[in-house]
Amino acid sequence: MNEDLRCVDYIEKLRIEKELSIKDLTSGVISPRTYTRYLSNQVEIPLDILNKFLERLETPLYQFGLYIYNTIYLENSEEIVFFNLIVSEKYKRAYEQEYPKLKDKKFQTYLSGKALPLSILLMKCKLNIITENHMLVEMRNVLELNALINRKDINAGEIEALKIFVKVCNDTEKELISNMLYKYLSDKSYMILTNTVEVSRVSLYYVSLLAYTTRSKLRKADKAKIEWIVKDFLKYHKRAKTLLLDCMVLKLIYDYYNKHQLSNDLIVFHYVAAILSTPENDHTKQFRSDITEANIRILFKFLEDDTFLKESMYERLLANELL
Amino acid sequence: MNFYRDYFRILDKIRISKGISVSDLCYGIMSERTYYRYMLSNKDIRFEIYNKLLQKLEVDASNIIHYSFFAEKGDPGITRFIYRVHVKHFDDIEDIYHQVLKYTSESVQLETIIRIYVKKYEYTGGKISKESYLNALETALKKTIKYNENNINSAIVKSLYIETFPNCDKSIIESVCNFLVKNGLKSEPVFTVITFDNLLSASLRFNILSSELFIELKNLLGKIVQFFPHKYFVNRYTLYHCFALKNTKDESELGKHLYKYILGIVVLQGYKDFEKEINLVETLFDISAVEYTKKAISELYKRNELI
Repeated sequence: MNEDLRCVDYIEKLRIEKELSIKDLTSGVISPRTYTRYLSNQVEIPLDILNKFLERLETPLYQFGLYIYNTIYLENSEEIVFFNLIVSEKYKRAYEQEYPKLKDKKFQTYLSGKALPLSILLMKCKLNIITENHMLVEMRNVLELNALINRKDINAGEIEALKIFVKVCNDTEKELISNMLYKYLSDKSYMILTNTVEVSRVSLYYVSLLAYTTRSKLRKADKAKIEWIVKDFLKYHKRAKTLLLDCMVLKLIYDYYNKHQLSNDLIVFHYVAAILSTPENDHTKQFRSDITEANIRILFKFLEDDTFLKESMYERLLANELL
Repeated sequence: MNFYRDYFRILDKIRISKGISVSDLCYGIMSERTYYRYMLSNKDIRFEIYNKLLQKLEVDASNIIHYSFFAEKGDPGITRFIYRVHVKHFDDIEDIYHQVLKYTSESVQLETIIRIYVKKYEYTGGKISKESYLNALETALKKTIKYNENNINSAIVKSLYIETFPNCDKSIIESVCNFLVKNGLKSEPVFTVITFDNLLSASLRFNILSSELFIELKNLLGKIVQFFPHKYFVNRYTLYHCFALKNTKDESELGKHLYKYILGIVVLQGYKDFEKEINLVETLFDISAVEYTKKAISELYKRNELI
């Protein structure tokens, strides 16, 4: 969340990148002097002038929004790297390598409001810098779950914050979170505010499944919701595959099957194939224990099945009753 | 300009969802009366003022623009359509195709991209002839060159042209390369990675880039996909990385990556294009894909190097 966002600064960046002179940008719109006054913050830029500049820069407004978002994202990549380390539970490395870059910094990315503060608290607790009780009190203050569940809008940063919170919260909170996120996935009147639709939606599948499947007690209606979420995830994922998140969601399904002693070779195949097709990096190591000889045999069995390979993705899985 | 009013309306929808009163939201920024005036007509609102209201609601301006464009108005589906045509995912494309046919963009260059991808889809699906698609491509290129070329909208059209006419004027290839090297991921991310993919894929088949430039662009794509974790494009990066490794004749290093690409095809493609993709990798690397994958996985597992 960038409180000091000045649109004209990004217009100027874009103008320079597109090698357009100030004269060419402003001619017939305003004087070059007025433009300079916008830049020096003496005058604020009206939306209609902004729109004319964007037309001249051949950049539709939605692309300009993405340009600002991507620029902030890339210029503050340490925030993303730190957050991903926490999600992968690499607390020591996050603390030693990335936290020093963050601790005196004003956060800028979409993770700044809630996700990064929660990540820092989780890291400190895991490294015994603060107590679990301290962490939970602080997390609840930052997250404001009761307000969140009464709303009909959620943004990408809040979804990522829930990804952290759901790892440590109690059963009652998990129930609130799982029911809330089910609504975001199943009811279009709930607004998901994000620039990365695929990532946010798959994160929603992940967090909701994590909240459901780690609750100590499930009702019959909850099981039906889990099945709906899994099927919807598989249908969505046929076309929108995110890199590590697909492994994370499939792991939840794989673990759920193992926990309930349900056998399904197709789940094993899709889970193992998702892991092994992901380029090796620090984050894939979290799945290492599931790459067993038995699971590799299942992978090979399907790889040798020509009819299976030529099917549409998840076809057999979606055709079956899952739970 | 009506879309600015839409942004204000979405802002107000979020305000209501969050249970914040108009007076609390406006406090220190503007009077309630001004707020309601902007709701009706916001012609003279300053972006910075709008952003201050959003800050109070803890929402990014880019989220509102994105939501308005992609979600609330029933997403014209431009990016979804172009992505599907690029990866040949046609299972659910017809509805999006008809939506896109009805849509007209205010931007000439975006409009050019949309129309050429419509033609590409129609040609791929056998709705129009190859000649008709090639003519459309020539027209699209001419239109693109007429306007400011230094942007992603121009680069993606040129990359489509290069994909189809790899022996085209070298200046077209150079201008796309220059743009990609300079711009990185600052533009629309899907368009950017598609442009990289079109260019590198053409080079794989027709050797249009020097090996140094191929590696430079491949490495750049590698950096971009770190921040754009979409499996299809990460997998394409793996293919280009393997191709670069093949030239170094480092079989051991190649063995650590190529099976991932093949498994990636299995995970991503399945269905109709599976055979075509597998044939390409078998030809490029002179292997039997499934046997190679099983052998590589078994050996890496034995050496405890699989993950």
